[in-house]
Amino acid sequence: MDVRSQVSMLFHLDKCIGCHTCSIACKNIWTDRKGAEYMWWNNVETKPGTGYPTKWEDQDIYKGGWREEGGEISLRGAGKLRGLLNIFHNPHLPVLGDYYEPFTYKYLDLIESPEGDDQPTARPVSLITGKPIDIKMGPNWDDDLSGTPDYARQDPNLANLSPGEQEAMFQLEKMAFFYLPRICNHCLNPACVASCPSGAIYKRGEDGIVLINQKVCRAWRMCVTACPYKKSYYNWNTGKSEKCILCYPRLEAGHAPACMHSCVGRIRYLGVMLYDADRIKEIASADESELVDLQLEMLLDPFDEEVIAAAKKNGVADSTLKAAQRSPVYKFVKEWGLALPLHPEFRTLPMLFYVPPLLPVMASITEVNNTEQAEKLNPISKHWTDNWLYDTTTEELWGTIEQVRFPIKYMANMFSAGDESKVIDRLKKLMAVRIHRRGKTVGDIDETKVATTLKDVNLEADMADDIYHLTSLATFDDRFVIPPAHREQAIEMLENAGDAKGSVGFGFNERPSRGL
Amino acid sequence: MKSLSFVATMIVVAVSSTMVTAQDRGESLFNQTCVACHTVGAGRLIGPDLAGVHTRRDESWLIDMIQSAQSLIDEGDTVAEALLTEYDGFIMPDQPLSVDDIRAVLGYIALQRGDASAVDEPAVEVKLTDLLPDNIQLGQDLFVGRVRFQNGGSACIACHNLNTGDVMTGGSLARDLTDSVPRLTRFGVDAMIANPPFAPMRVAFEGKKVTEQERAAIVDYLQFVDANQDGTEAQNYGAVLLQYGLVGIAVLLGFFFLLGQRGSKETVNHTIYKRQIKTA
Repeated sequence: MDVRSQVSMLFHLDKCIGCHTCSIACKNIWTDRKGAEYMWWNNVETKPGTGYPTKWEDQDIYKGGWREEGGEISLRGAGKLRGLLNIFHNPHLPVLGDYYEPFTYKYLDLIESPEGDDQPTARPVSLITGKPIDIKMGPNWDDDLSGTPDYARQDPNLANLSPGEQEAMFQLEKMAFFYLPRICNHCLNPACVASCPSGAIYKRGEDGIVLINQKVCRAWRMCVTACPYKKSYYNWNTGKSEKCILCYPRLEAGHAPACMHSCVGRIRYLGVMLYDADRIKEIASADESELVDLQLEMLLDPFDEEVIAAAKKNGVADSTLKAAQRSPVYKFVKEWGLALPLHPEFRTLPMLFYVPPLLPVMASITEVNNTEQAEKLNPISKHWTDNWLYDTTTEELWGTIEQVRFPIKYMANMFSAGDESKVIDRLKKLMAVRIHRRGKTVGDIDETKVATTLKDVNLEADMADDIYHLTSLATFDDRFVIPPAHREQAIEMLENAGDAKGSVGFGFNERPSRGL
Repeated sequence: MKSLSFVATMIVVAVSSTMVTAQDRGESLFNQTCVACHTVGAGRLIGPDLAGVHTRRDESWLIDMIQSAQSLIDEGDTVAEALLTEYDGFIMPDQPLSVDDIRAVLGYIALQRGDASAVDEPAVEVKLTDLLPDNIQLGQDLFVGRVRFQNGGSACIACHNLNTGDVMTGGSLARDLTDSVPRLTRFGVDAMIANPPFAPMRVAFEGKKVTEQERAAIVDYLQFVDANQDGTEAQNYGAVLLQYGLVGIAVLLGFFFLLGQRGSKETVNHTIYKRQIKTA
């Protein structure tokens, strides 16, 4: 057992309001630079939608991630022979048109234009050429289902859905969508690391953050192709690729990453996970139906004596173990089994987990005779009436889950490689907690009914309360359990701390050019 | 008393050693620079026998001749021109020797007892059939650098060419050695390798003396090469290489063209962009 620690993340999609504050926080700190304008290390996508870059989930186009053949996995678009063949001309590399041409407006024209008959306008200019352009696309062009059928209806996750199921999502006045915030998943089996011909990408030993060494990167851009989540971006100005660094300078100082810190909906959780690195290859090569279960199995119990001993033997600090025991991500993912990884079928073993959204499902289910209306619509469509009630209790307890506004298949395509039972399991748990809390706070639900509900999904009452607490009332310290980085030890590996002993201050990284 | 005798001894040693040095310098300079082409009383080689040269020519002419034969000829010196014709147009290379050095050498020559009338022993003729195939092979290996010189000198082919199909085209920095043996005699070639009279070669082999056995092998090989010349030029690869290169470029370009055919040529957003209305 090779126990390692990973700073893992969890996004609670039920709570995301799609405000893009995370994206802006990230942009302001990291990517508001020349060459990085089009990079969105953090972005929020509307689902159904094609995302950013457009159709990133369609690996027939982008050839990212791993593919399995006879129990062995290989990179879909890179690797030894294929990488060599593509190294000077990579046919699957996303181009600027797949993202968008970054732009700004000539705001000064509004102020400095000479007096005239017309109102001055701020023309859009390209941030790449500096010349006026027609804006063709943006990073959230299809936000909130806006745009033509070119966008949401092209969502790769709609595969295997019947036309009726697809249409149900796009009915006027009955549209349903949810938001999918995305950052780098800091995978356990990162395709970007495997694809880099220069060996510039590495997964940090102490916390598993995947980083690109800017001094070693030689702009081959194989990582851009290889990352199935398209979260490695090429900076055309510096000639290096860049990606989300999970705000490691903030983490090392004990702060949550900027996107998580600024999250308005408080959907983001961060904590340590222990995993068994010996099993990575075996699990990444497993059959598609087993991927999720095996990945969750690989995450280890931080209270297990054996695990603790093995972790200590591997140099995992006591403080990290403690953080792992308090980890909110561990609770959501392992203890309560509420979360799923995004697109496990890419086989990178992503360590960012999502609690699938229940909210848009829960519109009215009342005893209204709408057979007349139903005849005009397809069976999946929900029927809204004027006297609708936001009711989660029905005669048939889980009926609403099976007929959700979002076809289960759609969410299964995203979170469980097409296995609907896993999504249903999570949604049922979420709903059970809701029924339990409604019984407690409103008191209009029969206690035995609450009990059967919880029992159906293997939850205890206090467990449900814990879920409720961590979901709704959690404070900063509950949501972000950041292990101490022990930089003092890391520095001692690189330089002799004794050199600065007796000196004033911390010394200089680069001495001032005019002398001291 | 003891110290006095010590000082006296030291003085004697010092004086005698300087005398020895002065005498030796002429000899060592002669052996370093002249011996490749000249003898004193042992007959002519590439250049004339120098026995009694100090009586035949005056000193200033000798100094000029040794320092730069070329400029002497350029000036129209008849004696120098006559010598040039006599020695098949093989001009004596300029020697980087100071006037003092030359005087020391002349002094050494004067001391030698040999005289111009000494027996002119013809150099021993080595017949081609006497050459050992092993030696020829070793000579070729040394020439092209397959076998290293014992003392680390660079292979001959770096600067010299041989007009033979056996070895690849050599350098053009120094003279083609194909007909070196008839031109310079075996002894001359051997002496030139042992004590290179040309500045670049001398510098290149400074402290990396070619051993006697290696020299003999090379000379054997050079003689063999000369004898086996069939009168035709060695194959000129120039045009063929160019053709190969062009074919190679065509193949590579074709390969890259095919590589470039893969993948989509349009962006994912192609249909959206196409439909959009453009200003201007």
